[in-house]
Order: sequence, then structure tokens, then C-alpha cells
Amino acid sequence: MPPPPPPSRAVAPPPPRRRQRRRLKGRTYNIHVFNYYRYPPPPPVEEERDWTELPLDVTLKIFRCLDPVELLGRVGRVCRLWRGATRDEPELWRRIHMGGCSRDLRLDVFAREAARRSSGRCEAFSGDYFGDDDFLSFLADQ
Amino acid sequence: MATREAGKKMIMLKSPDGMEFEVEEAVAMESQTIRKMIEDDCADTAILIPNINSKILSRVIEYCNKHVPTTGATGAAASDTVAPAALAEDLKIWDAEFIKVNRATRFDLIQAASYLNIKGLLDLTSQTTIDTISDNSLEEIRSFLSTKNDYLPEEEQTIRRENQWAFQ
Repeated sequence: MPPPPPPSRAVAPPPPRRRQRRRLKGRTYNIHVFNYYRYPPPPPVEEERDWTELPLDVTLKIFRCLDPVELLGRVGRVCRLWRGATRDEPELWRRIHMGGCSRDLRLDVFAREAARRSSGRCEAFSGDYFGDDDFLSFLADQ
Repeated sequence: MATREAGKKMIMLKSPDGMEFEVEEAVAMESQTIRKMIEDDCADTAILIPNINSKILSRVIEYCNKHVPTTGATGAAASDTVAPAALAEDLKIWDAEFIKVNRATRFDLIQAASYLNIKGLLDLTSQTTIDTISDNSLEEIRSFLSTKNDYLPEEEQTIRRENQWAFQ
């Protein structure tokens, strides 16, 4: 790297402050000076939060408000964490209400899966569109 | 509960970033976590609320202030002449305005409501998430949650197949 050019000495001696400024102007700096430069903080951007990282009890609270069919279907497909939460938390299936669903679904299959996931902790089950003896005895066995 | 006549007992809530909020005890006790601390005599006059910064804590206090039973409320709504139904309606409108915040703030509010155990606030803040999951496609849900699909393509196939048993 070439040596910095000699500071240009003013012909007529100006006031000391001004001379200082002129000296800085004519100097070549090594690029590393930027390491010492304090950059202003970046403008604030909206921080993103990954909502699947909410505390488990909050996630389960949200899940409890959802239709069991959603819970057994789409919710588990969102990500691994949520799949785990819908499968491995029997508490989530303590009360199951399979109701109000007019879609062409095998609700009884869903209900059996829901009851299975409760690992025997299901305390209340209700359903609007089905429930034969076969299912009730299955429920009793769980 | 402290009443206006008896003189209000005040509690100091401190956020980890050093801000202090002086609130009525009744307002602070909207949080079941703080209520328990006060009832168990674990709280002196100042309570440090860990993990909740002053911006969020001030919003939480704002919520509690509004929702504290009207006999101890600081607002003008404490009048006996207002019918409970009208009050409830007023609160509903207020809640709807309160929750118009960006997603990061709502996320922090959910966490705060969960830690402080404020049921009303937790219900309010999580409702949007519940609605989103119920009404949107998988991709839309992921985008709303700012999360990524961490399944491998073949895993997705397997899960989709697993789910098909009920759609026959």
C-alpha cells in the first residue's frame, strides 16, 4: 500500500482547527478503518416470531378450541412440532366433541383415532351424527 | 378488594428493562399469577415480572385496568347506572381495538397472558390464531404462523396417506 500522501500544509496558516480538517481530507485510509466505525443501528423492522414456538400449554389451549377433525387432519401437517403436540398429549383429548361436521367424512374413524390418542384419559365424549353400540364399547375399552 | 373509600393499595410491577409501573392491587390481581403471589405474601410492594418487557407489560396493565371489576375500576365506567349488557358491549368494542396490533406484539401478548395467567387476555389474543387455523389452507396457516414446513416431501406423502383413511 502506498504511504499516505504527505499532509498538505496550508500555504497561509489558517486557524488551527481548519488546518486539522484539511489534513484529514487529503489522507488515504486503510480499509480496516471501517472495523472501528460505529454504524448506526439498523432501522427497526418488524420482528418475526415463529408461532409454533409458543409455550406448549398455550398451543394446547388453542388446539382445544379447534374441531377434532382439524386437529386430527391439517393441524398435524403444519409442522413436526404440532404433529407431536396432537399425537403425544393425551390431555388434549380429555374431552372430545365430534359435532357439527357435514363434510363427507368417516367421523367414526376420526372419533376412534381421537379416543385412541387420549390414552384412556378421555372423560367426556359427545357426537352429533353417529355413535353405535360398537363405538361405545370401543370407547369403554379405551 | 381495595376500594376507593378505603384507600387503594398500590403494587409496583417492574419489567426486566427497568421500568416500574404502579398499579392498584385489584388491577394487578387480574393476573392469577400475581394474585397468588400477593395472597401467599410472596409479594412485598414491588414484583419483578421476568421476560415481559415494558412495552408489553404496559399493554397488559392497560388491559387489566379496563377489565378489573367496575367497583374498583379507575375509569369513568364505574357508575352504577350503566347496564351490565352495555358494559359488556363496551368492553367487546374496546377489546377489538386493543388487539389491533402487529403479529409480533400479539405473540408477546399471548406469552405474557399465559405467564401471568390472565384468562380473558389469553382468550382474546389466541382467538385470531384459532380462526386462522380453522379457515385457511396449510400454506396460509404456515405463513400466518411464520413457520416453515419442516417435513421432507416423502414424509408429507406418508402423512397425507395416513390421513386418507377417514376420507373414504
